Amino acid sequence: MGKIKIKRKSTTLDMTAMCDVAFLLLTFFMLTTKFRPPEPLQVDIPSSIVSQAVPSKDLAVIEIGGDGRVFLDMDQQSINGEAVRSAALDLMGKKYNVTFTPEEKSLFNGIGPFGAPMSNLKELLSKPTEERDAYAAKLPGVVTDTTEDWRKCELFDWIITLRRINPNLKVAIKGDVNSKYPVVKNVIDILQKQNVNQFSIVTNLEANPLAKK
Amino acid sequence: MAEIQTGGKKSSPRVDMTPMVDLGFLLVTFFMVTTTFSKPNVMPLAMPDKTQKKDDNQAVKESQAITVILTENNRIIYYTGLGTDPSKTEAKVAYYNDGTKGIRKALLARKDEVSANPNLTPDQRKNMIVLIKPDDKCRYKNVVDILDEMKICDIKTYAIVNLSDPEKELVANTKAE
Repeated sequence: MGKIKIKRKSTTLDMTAMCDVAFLLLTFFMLTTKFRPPEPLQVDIPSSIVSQAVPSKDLAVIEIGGDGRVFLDMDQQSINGEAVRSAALDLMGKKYNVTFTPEEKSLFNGIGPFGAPMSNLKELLSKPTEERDAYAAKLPGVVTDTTEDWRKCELFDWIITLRRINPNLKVAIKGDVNSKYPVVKNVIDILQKQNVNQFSIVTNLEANPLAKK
Repeated sequence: MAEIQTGGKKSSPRVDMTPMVDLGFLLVTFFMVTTTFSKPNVMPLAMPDKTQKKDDNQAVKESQAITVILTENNRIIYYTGLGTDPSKTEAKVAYYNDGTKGIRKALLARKDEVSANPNLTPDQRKNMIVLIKPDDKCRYKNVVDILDEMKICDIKTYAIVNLSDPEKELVANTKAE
């Protein structure tokens, strides 16, 4: 009887295809990744069943931390060739007698959420990059106190200045799960004081418990 | 003369690609982990206009409404009616869970009750009105949770309003029990 000869196959595979796939995926993730900007205020947002995406422009976000501090974030966008954030800083500076240099204004355009009272804002912008995040996290937040005088409420002025620059501005509230309701109510009152009765609440998506039935 | 050896052994044109693939997948994993696909959403909220005259408030019937008071420790006190006089109706305590003491059950029950009420116009029957009254001790999460319940139970008309004085008393009394 004839013996069947089994040919030994080589153990090396052609990895070109696998390599192609790996790098294709790599390119995809590299291009789609958007690194999260630094968040000076940690906000743990509640969840809801609404699935409406956060608008990508014309948005100002009021962040409310669990400790009651209020930070403000707005989009980096330009209207008529002028950066909204820089323009707002300029107008706020004029109102509160703080002059900002053009460098500080362009820096402000890229810092993300901030919680500095007008008196601390210049110091925040003058900090070197590596110290800024640590300093920003310790700031007491945008002044929302309205007990004394409406004209001293900086949040009110920030929102009204932003709305003046961008009439299409929408306001969103991003509150921490543990923040106390009076703080939120105060922010809502500030918005209603300037006739902003419609705004949005930033939430995470969760499944609808009644959808199963 | 010595001969120059040319190509005694031809080297294979294949390159070992294992380290390259390793590196590739390592980077893929890194970007996959750091990418945030879950983008937050926004829930639209309209507050009643304060400058508007309050005449249209009278159009709301007591039998069409339910009042929900949010208070500390994730408790909800609710009763039927508009809350002008809470002593008239029986106040009950509910929580944010799905169980028998959950607020959802109470809301859905009240919704059925309103839609079956023969004394209301068809338009009123369709629109149960929920008055959400968060007190100063409740957390922001409670407010978002109750707004979410409105979405889950498909309730279109609701408003966030402040507590009246008898209601503040009611909250204080139910705590003592």
